[in-house]
Amino acid sequence: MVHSAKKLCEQIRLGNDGDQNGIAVVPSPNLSTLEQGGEASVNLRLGRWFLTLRQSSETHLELLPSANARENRFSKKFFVPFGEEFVLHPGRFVLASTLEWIRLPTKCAAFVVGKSTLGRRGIVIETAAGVHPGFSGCLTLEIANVGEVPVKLISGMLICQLFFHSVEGTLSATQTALAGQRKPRLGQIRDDLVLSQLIKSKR
Amino acid sequence: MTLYHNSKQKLRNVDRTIGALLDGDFPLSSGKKALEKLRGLFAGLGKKLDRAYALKDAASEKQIASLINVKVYETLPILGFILRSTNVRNAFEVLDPLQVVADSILQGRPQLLLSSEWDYVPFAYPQSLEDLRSFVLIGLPATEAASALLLPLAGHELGHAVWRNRGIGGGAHATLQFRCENSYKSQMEEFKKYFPEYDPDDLVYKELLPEAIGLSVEYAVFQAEELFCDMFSYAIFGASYLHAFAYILAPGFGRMPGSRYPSHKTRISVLASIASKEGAKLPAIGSLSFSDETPRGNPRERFVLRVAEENVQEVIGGLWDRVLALLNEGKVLRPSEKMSEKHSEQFKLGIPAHEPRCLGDIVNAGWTCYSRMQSYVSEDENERDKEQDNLYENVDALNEILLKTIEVLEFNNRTGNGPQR
Repeated sequence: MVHSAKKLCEQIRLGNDGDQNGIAVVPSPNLSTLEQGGEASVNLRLGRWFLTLRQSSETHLELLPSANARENRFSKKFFVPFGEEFVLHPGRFVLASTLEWIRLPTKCAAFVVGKSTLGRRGIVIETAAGVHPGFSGCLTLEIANVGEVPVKLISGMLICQLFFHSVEGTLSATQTALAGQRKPRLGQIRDDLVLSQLIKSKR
Repeated sequence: MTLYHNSKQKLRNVDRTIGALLDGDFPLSSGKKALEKLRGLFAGLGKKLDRAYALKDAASEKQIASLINVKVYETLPILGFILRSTNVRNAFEVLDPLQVVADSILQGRPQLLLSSEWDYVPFAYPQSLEDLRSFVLIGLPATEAASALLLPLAGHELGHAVWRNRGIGGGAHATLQFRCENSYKSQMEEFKKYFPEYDPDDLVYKELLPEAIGLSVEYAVFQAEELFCDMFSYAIFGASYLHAFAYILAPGFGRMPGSRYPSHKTRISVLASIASKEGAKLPAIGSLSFSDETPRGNPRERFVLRVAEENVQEVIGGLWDRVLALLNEGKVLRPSEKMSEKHSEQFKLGIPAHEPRCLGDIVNAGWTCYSRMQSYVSEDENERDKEQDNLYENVDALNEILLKTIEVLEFNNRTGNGPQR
């Protein structure tokens, strides 16, 4: 069940004050506006770190765990101060983070949705939309310009919204207290035993 | 090739180099502004050189060419510094809150430039560069530049800028000169024991006394500056300054620091004494793992140094009062144990603090968490490796939370939701 604005505000107040069963969203959104607006989601802002893929001597991106260590060879990081711009050209893609650090309790999951005002201008946000129970850190946003004109992204602007919902049933998620990243990353490709077997079985 | 053409060529190459640097990415504007200032300096020198050349004024031409050499020589390391300040290994989040502190205290609102340097010992160019008077350049070791826990070291370096900018050095120099002269008068017999060749009636040997006094004053002023910077950073960052200081320097480098630096023991005991008067908790000296320090120099040097150190001790109280007055005047918030404890509880749960007040609270809470994490590493050899790996991963995660909290401090201040200082 998706959380209502009122429930969301209660949960955020608890989470930001350190209650493990609450939802932490830091910096805190304006809770009175959220409560009065009655929306069932929290708007999140664009953080200041960006990561782009770049051309290098590497011939291609490998999607296997063995390639994790080579992330830096493909990527370049940028820091854009609050209120300043990162121009995303048509057909280009950038990883960014939410300004907000999110921490979900083990009984809550969330999903990220772009903002329609941006979508109508060609900016598509987040393709891996699920945020699992127990998550802690800034959300990495995959932002693409699928439109036909360059778009200025501004650090600190509203970029996406997060819907929260309860998780029912037996919970296997664990919460690691100290985890999470403030910068966008390509992320670790995990071992996939089935894929490994398929690769080994090549004839 | 003439001197004129050689100098023009050098200027052209410097301009080209600065231009290439300006084409790079500047995460923060202060580096770009410093480069533009330097570019203007060399353009001005070029115009002067052209004028001397047009007037066929060989003497002026030579003088300007020499000045160009000096400026290129002085500027190259600064260009490297500015370039390294743009590297993404830096924790750019810390600059704005530190700039807010600097703006509250320094006159003329100089801009801070924070860089990650290939030099282990943090240092500052505190407005000592004639051509970059409106900038304070602080270098932290590249290997530690991303660590929020070591931010108090930048506070110490900022103290050097305060020392010059607020004219504290001038006042301290006059006081220490007076005191050292009196010390030599009252310890004349001991002075003669270490300087037996001293003869007030001999044209050469009578100079030993003013030379020794001059050296004592020099050591005393430098040591007083270091202690002032320690106190300045302690005032802003609290106990975390001592933790960061010990992290970077303990157990030492196998030798005593030069005579211009107070011993580690003196530095720690000065802060311990202040903390004790304030009722604040500091880590015990023994827990900081500094090695015992051996006496410095020969007996003669030790006497000169002892006079310096005795007199520095006498001015410490006044310097601490000055630190407090400056912070008070600038409305700079000092850390509180209550807030730091509150933040550390939030960090322990894996969330940044959402209502931070000041940098000191954040970094102190970070050190509290870091110390707790270290205490969890087992003595059991079988468990230790795994626990140590966990510790290092947790420290990385803690650093992320600290930097995010520092960013929240800036965000709240900019959006009118936080304490301004």
